[in-house]
Amino acid sequence: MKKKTYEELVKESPVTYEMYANMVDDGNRYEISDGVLELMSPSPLFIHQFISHKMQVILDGSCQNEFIILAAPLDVILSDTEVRQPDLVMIHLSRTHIIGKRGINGAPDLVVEITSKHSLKRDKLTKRNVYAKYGVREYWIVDPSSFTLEQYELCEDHYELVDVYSGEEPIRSRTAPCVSFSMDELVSSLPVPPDQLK
Amino acid sequence: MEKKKKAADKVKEQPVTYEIYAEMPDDGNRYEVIDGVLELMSPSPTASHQSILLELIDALRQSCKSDYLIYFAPLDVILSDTNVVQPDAIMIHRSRKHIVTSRGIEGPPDLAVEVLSPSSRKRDRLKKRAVYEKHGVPEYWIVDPETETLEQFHLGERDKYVLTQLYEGDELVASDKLPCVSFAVSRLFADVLQ
Repeated sequence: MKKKTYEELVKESPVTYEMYANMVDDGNRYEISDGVLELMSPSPLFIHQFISHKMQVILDGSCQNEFIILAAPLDVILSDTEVRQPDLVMIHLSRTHIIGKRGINGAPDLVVEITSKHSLKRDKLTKRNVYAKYGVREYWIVDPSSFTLEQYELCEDHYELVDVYSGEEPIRSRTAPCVSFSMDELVSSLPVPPDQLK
Repeated sequence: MEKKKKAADKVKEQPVTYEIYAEMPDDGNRYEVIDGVLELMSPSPTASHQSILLELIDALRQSCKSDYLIYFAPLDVILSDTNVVQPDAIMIHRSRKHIVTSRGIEGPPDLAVEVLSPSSRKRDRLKKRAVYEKHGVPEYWIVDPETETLEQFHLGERDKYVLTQLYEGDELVASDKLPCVSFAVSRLFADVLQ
């Protein structure tokens, strides 16, 4: 079967995991949002990558005995027509059966999105609804423009904002009690003044 | 000295009611009462906060003035005896103008808006949002100067706020419940110096 390009696939509906997995690699990253192929924003910014890396290191340090912590790009296959690439995911060691060759087959225990100008709307609206719908217990939105972390907990079928962290406030999680860091730890580890990255 | 002591004592009284709050000596600070607790408001807002608020008021007045009363802080919004807040901006439909009294606004406005500042971010997103939700303010906007966005919450089923839209760039803010609203969110940040 001839591999399809983005231009060809974007016209099809619904796009499934199989179609996505067999498309021509054009160097871009895509997600499938409710059966629609979506191009992800260009390359992440320095601050995005730095925070992602730092958080992974910190979370690994305090949670690796209980969770697998992975960073994007990695497919999280929530359904045949809902495939996402969260910035960070945490999967409890009791649920490693959802780890497969292709990526994660199901809902991670905790998902983190680090917002950028391009992704803010998607992260706060679409993805928030998607992660809730597929039962991700906890969702964090990290905003590098204000160095805050919004913590959402799954409450039946929707998320409730339970806390907003900034500065020295210790981040605590019911889903992952091993979590223990503050936004200041991330900010103070930046190699350059934050203003240089604005 | 006597007065200072008085104010400090009031803070400890539980619950603080509107009466207690209204009788406090003016110490130059702004306070709110949230669930019976007196809370000091952050110092003075910044120039960018005020510039955004002014633009917002301008935009609302342009298209909503004939249908709504439009006010901005400081102004007491007395939602209950133990919840007295000062939203950055509010709109009240003219058919409900009876809630405007000599004490301030007595009841839920049709719209409450908070412009975030570093010190109010958490309060506005959590505490005040919960207070507006609990007292049935049908629509709540959070304007974030850092991301230059406007988040629109509506009371949904179960009388809980649902984030229904996030506006950015030149997108036009619109509302089913407030049909007169129409302005580009970028307009709010046009005069922010930085």
